[in-house]
Amino acid sequence: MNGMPPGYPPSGPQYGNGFYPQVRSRLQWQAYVRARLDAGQPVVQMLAEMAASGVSQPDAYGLVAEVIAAMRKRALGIIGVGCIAVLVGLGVTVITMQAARDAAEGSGSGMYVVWWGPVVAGAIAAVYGLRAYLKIPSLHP
Amino acid sequence: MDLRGRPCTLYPISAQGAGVMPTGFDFTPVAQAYMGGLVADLSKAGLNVLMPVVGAPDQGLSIRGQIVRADPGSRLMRYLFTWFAGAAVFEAEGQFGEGTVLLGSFHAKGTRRAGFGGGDSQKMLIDAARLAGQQSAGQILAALLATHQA
Repeated sequence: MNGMPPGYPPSGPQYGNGFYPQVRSRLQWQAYVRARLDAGQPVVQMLAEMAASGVSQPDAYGLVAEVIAAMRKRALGIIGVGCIAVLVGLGVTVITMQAARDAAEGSGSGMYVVWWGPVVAGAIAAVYGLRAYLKIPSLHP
Repeated sequence: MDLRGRPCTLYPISAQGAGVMPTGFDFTPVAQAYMGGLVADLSKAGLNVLMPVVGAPDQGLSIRGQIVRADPGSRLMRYLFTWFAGAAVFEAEGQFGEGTVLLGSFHAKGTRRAGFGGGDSQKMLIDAARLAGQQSAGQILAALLATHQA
């Protein structure tokens, strides 16, 4: 090994891997890296493509790390919101059932709400977020 | 500061190097929507927006922008997970200046997350582009006013 991280050829022309150099701003690279990682492109291939376009090694690693951190934050946020929705739905159901039980003991009847909407939507969101989180690649495989 | 009548050369937005571009439909209406939103708000502020002329120097303020991403999103994901996934996003950045003096830069992002049945992706992206154009104009005008108040 020559000590270079994966994705960077040690020397010579950068076009042998088939990538064409692209001039992009930092924001454009962020959007492009995010789209390619979402599509399942390996990180190593992404780094090689950036090297072919003249992006320096620290910049490329930094940019990919930023994008991966943003993807993780988004996935965790979706999981969090989903879990909160499930808890809210279950909480309202349990509280109204308890209140209805108490009312039934006193007056003989009570009403409760089975709030299944947030539970179902929250569960779907949590599963979606978990799936998205598990698909996020690691910068250091 | 009074911007009325001040000339402004606006270059068509460039798709060079864009991170994400739509592949399922014609992109022209999207770019036109962005430029339309930008021109409308700049004109409302009184700027005289002009097209660049090949071979001639830019008149007054010069604005150049490029697309960061034009992502139509996914109709199915918008339908299933509204507000969470599948949003249509149009993001642009650019710079503006006068002569050789750089006055500032802008970065705008228009997002559309919800529509009937998820919303038609092209229409959502066009709306997002128009919104981004308006945001760009707002940032440019704010920077111009700030520059002249300093």
